[in-house]
Amino acid sequence: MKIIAVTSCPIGMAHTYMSSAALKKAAKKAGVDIKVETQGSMGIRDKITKKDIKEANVLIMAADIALIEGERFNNIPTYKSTTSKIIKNGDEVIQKAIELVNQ
Amino acid sequence: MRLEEIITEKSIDLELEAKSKSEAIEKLVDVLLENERIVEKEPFLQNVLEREKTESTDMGIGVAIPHGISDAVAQPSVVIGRLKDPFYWEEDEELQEEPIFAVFLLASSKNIQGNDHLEMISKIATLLIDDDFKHTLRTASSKTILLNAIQSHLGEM
Repeated sequence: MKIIAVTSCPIGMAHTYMSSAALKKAAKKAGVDIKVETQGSMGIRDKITKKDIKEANVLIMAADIALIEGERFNNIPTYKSTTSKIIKNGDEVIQKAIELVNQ
Repeated sequence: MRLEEIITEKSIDLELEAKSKSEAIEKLVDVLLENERIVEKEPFLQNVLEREKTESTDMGIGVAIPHGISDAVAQPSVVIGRLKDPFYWEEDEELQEEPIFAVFLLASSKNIQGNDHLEMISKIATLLIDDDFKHTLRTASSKTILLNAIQSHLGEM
């Protein structure tokens, strides 16, 4: 199982990076691979590549503002969430994304 | 970049007395002003309150992280207030999470070159995802203990 995720928020100082950390923590706990791209005040970090998308089973999208190059993700099963929900309960978001793959 | 460029003991209040979101934010903005980390109070305060209106910065984990980017910021900073008496960040009951026991106010300016300061500020905010760090934040008996915990957790990231 490989999950890719992208997080963004209006100011890009707190939510973007905290939700990224929360996803990584929850993914580790669930025993799944994850790569998280952050779109925040520091620009794009850990950009999701075509190869990542090809290898991934599911995308978790937490885009509180419009994504840069969001069209990259048009053809991958997507679980939409928000940065706040992820920070509050990353475990549940990871489980929902896994369920989407297993459906 | 060294941690003390962003946060020092002067930027920590372990017994912040506040009963509301606006009171807590204003008191922490005053700390920035007293330490000359911002040059003017009002523009930064308004910027933070505006951000708060677009979306609550109650993270749902017992900590709120109000933040602003303003020209009034002379030195990018994190200010920490641990509340003497925890309270609900939002007055609207439907938006209430668990009571807030600490507030991290983040301050930055677009006039500062490079990303080093943003990197450190966002890493400090990210520490709150770590349960061990949150426990230290709740229980630290001195500012030194808290600062040392921040330093050591940042070293592990």
